Amino acid sequence: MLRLVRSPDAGAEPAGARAREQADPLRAVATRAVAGDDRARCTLLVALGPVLLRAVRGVLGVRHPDVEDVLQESMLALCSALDSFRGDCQTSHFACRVAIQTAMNGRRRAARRQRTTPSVPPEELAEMAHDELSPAELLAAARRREVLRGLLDDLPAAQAEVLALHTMLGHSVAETAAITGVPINTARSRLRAGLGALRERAGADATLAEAVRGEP
Amino acid sequence: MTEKRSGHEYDEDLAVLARRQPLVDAERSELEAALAADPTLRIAHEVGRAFDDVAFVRPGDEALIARVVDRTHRSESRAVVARRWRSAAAVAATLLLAAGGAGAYRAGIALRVRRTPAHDIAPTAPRLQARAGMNGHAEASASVAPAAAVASPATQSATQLKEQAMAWTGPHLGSTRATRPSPSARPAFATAGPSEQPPTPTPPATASTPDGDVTAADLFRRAGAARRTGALATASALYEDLQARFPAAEEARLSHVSLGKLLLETGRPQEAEHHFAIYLAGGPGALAAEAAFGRGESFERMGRAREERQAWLELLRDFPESVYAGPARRRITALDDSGLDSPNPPGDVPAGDSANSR
Repeated sequence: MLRLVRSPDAGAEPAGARAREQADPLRAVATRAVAGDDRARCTLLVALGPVLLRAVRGVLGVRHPDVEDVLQESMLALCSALDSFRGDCQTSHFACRVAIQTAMNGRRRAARRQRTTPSVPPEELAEMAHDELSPAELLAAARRREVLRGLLDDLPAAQAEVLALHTMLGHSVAETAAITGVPINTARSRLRAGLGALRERAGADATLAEAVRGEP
Repeated sequence: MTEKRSGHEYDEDLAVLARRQPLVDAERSELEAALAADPTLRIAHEVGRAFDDVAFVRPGDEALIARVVDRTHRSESRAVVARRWRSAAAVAATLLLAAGGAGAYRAGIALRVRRTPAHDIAPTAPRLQARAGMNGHAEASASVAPAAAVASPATQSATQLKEQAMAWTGPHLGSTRATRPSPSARPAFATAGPSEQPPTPTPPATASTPDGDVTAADLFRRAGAARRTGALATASALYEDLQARFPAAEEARLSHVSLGKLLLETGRPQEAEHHFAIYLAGGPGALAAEAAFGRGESFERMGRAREERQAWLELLRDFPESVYAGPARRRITALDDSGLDSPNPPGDVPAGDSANSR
């Protein structure tokens, strides 16, 4: 017997579109940019600039000399990748992922250039004068950041990406899964593997070793 | 509200939530319990908070973003023009290929027709008629069947050839699109090194550009790109050009450290020291510790032990907390152990942070 079945989306498309637009205000601009609208592309890049910059600085370091170059690489990569964006996550999250990947590659290139990487980049030390924490706390924080950044160089790309999104940029597991386009369980298992590696790496760092032992 | 979940997912998300906003008492208690129970979570939380301590937004970011967007836009526009040219070339090649194929096929058929007796062709006529009728060309008659028999396969072949050529050249028609990664293959674009998909055009041997609107930032960027791709001579030339053309620019000052390191890598410590010294003479700067370290390394490579020791002492005096303090102390110790006749009294090495002395 034939039965008429009403699609859950039938008749609700405008409302759905509005909801999606509210959830992702940059989606419409991104769509126009993909269609070849130059102004929309510029608008999109300006709007996403802070997101990209934060991800790039997170991976490279705030005052790393390659920040500007890598930011431009990220924008070019974003423009290239945008038409493959299917809207599975927010546009800003998609951009964040592109920037993370580009910056991790930039960091690996920089590491190859430099045979020895100092435990704390001097450009980060310059930041310490502007902070309210004590120099010892700042140095410890800088070393912790470098432990994670160093780990990103060595981990498999998929794990490194998840670790950067979650631990460095503070995305939840569900957000990280949406950004990377994998099921939540996959994202979580990658995160666990990455955090396990972080724990091993942390044993070599005095300040983090305290955290491993449970000391304040 | 978020449904409470058990296990690591909840704990990890709670830790993330704590970094975003203040927790309510119950959540805070739960987080503390989770952190006490799980060392891995504790480490992740500590490391995450270390990133939160950094001000990722800085004065001048708007100008920086605008500058990079502008450069990206120009670069993309050039890429679009190049893409259009490639598309046009691909279409032209396709048409030539199709026309050539059709011509060759037609010539081959024509030869065969001349050699084929008429009765061999005749049976194909009704089928062609039927097809013509189906296509609404009822006027096609048996009298034109031989011609149709020649023309139709040829036309069909040309169409097929064109379709095949289009299918084959499809990726080239949008070459950039073709290289754009699918979501599953997205990491591929990111793993592409600068030699595969350089962010900027290959830097010229000299920094002079035909348009003449080159900026200090452009030169600095090009030099950096050249350095990354291993074109050290080009990078060196670009840094020198930058310093000559924009001596007052901040990029020019920074470039002294970059050039110094580059010269040091290429075995020219004397020139390297000169550039590090220029940077340091400019007063405090973000790369001053690095420049001081480079200066010490330059003297070490030159074998000028006395100047080297003095350079390390200056580094310890000016940047006692830097990551370079430890190596500087070790180097001074080595120099002293090697019997260097120090002009300074014993104990002239400033004491420093033990963590940095490691």
